Amino acid sequence: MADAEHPLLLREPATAHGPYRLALAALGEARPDVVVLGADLGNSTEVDLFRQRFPDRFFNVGSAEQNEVDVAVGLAFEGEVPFVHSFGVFLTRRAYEQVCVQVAMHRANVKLIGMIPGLTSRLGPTHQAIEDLSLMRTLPGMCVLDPADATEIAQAVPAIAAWDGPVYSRMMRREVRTLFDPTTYRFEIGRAVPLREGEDVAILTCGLVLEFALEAAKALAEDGIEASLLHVPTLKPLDVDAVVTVARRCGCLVTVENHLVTGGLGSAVAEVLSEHFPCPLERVGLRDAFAVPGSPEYLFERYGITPRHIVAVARHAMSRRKGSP
Amino acid sequence: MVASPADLKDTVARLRRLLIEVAHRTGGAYLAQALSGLDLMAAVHYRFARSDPARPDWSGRDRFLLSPGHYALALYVILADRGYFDEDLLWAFKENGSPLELATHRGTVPGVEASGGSLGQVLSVGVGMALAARLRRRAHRVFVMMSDGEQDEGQVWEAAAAAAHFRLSNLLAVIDCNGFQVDGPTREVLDMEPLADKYRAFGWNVEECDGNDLDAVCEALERLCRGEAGRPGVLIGRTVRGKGVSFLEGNPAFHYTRLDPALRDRALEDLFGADTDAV
Repeated sequence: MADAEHPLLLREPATAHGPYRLALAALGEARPDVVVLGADLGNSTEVDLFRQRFPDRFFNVGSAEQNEVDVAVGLAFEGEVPFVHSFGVFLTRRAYEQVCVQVAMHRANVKLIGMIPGLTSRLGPTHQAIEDLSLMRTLPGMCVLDPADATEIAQAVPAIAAWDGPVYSRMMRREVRTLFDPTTYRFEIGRAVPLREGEDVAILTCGLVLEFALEAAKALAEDGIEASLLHVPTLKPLDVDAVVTVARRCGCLVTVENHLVTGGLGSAVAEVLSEHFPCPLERVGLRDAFAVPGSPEYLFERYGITPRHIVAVARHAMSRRKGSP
Repeated sequence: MVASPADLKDTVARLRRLLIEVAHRTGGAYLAQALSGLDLMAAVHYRFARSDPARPDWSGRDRFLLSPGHYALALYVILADRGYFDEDLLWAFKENGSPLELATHRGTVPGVEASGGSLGQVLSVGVGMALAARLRRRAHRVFVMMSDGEQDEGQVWEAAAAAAHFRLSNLLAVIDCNGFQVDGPTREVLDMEPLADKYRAFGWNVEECDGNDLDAVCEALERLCRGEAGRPGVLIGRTVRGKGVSFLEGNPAFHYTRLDPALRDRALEDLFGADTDAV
């Protein structure tokens, strides 16, 4: 089945401007208990519209992320639902202990929104969140999300607010691709989304690299290789049944992520396979390296995270399957 | 709440005896710290914080947050004495499975509202609680008890700046300045003095007094509660580590204290005279 024909996907991918900005402001309308914290990155984290509409419920604590996270914990202890904003690197690296012992340990109802995922920052390794999913996934009780497109972002924001407990979500800003059809797609925390059901190789993705995986699957199909494609926007709690289902179906898998191959989606899938259905797994992503500064296009090419690379890795995964020539 | 300063003195004397007994019977505690901070914590808890032990979740209560979790035992004896939980629980202090842990954790017993094992974080939590109170137009206050050693943590000053920036007059901090931290005298480890000037520079109302003199502490807290509008308040209490027990006072060998029967008797004798059954 061609991608364009999948009922959950738009026939032609489009581009949306600032879907998070709009979703957060809409959430402010729907949920009077939502408060927003910023750390001197108002426009850069797209909290400006919420701030304009709900100035009483917006707190800028300056560029002080450790304080920001713990202030949010105090607000959450009092029944507010704080959305905490910064770039993903600062929330997860600089404020890690605060996130661990005040947010996660108390299961505080704090929502951490980490802007500019992975290699999409132009500012180099200080700003590239390449291990944020790993750091957050290992924290007990932390829900971890990596939405893929504007449709998913729009639906994830109210779902994050409704989730009872701490959430870390990567977030994309400004021009964001729209891959899912908002009239048919329904995002749900903890649910993976099958987009192809071929039997030759399974490709699993999270975040914006879904678009690369869709292209790769199409290219493979043109060569007569039918892939399963499973989109996994929730890294934790992981949809174990969906992962095992595609593993059983295909017998070999490829994970694709805008992240190190350690600790994120690749590791999460490896953990499931080792316990439930051992079979060959190849992981596409950054490998034990900090990336150089550069444009996302340049970096994805340089570090082997493109449709072309996914196709090659998928073929290699197939060659490792038992009984392969 | 205790009505008079005289009653408060009797109460604190009773609590000091309880601290010694618990430290003795349960194999050890951060006793020197509990003794230095007890007067400050008791003054807040018995004289200033509006609360009701029968309704620990009452939304109108003043919040009391303990930041240095190592002062746990001082808070536990206060909470037990006030009836937040049965005093018998004290004898299981830090036993495996006991809710009374060596450092305080929110959710373990009623009245413990913060987790303070990792230093320097709870003033930020207090800022969040004070913001929530103001946002929802609730009149309660947030008290945060800190130690002098944890003033080393940069996050304390992020929170101090934020509290003043947001004009949180419903936030009152109390600092037990006993002059010691793990590696020795604070002036030698990392000198944060003059602490009062630092908080003033950050925009706080500041009071400073002998933190083991209950009358002085209560007067200072009164003044803070009437302090310049639109500012958070901090009481810097100059205390003696191990207050009242001669072999603990100012002795860095006792970061953690075990009291054998002889030391227990000496401690009680120091505090209450030769007749250790008095008070």
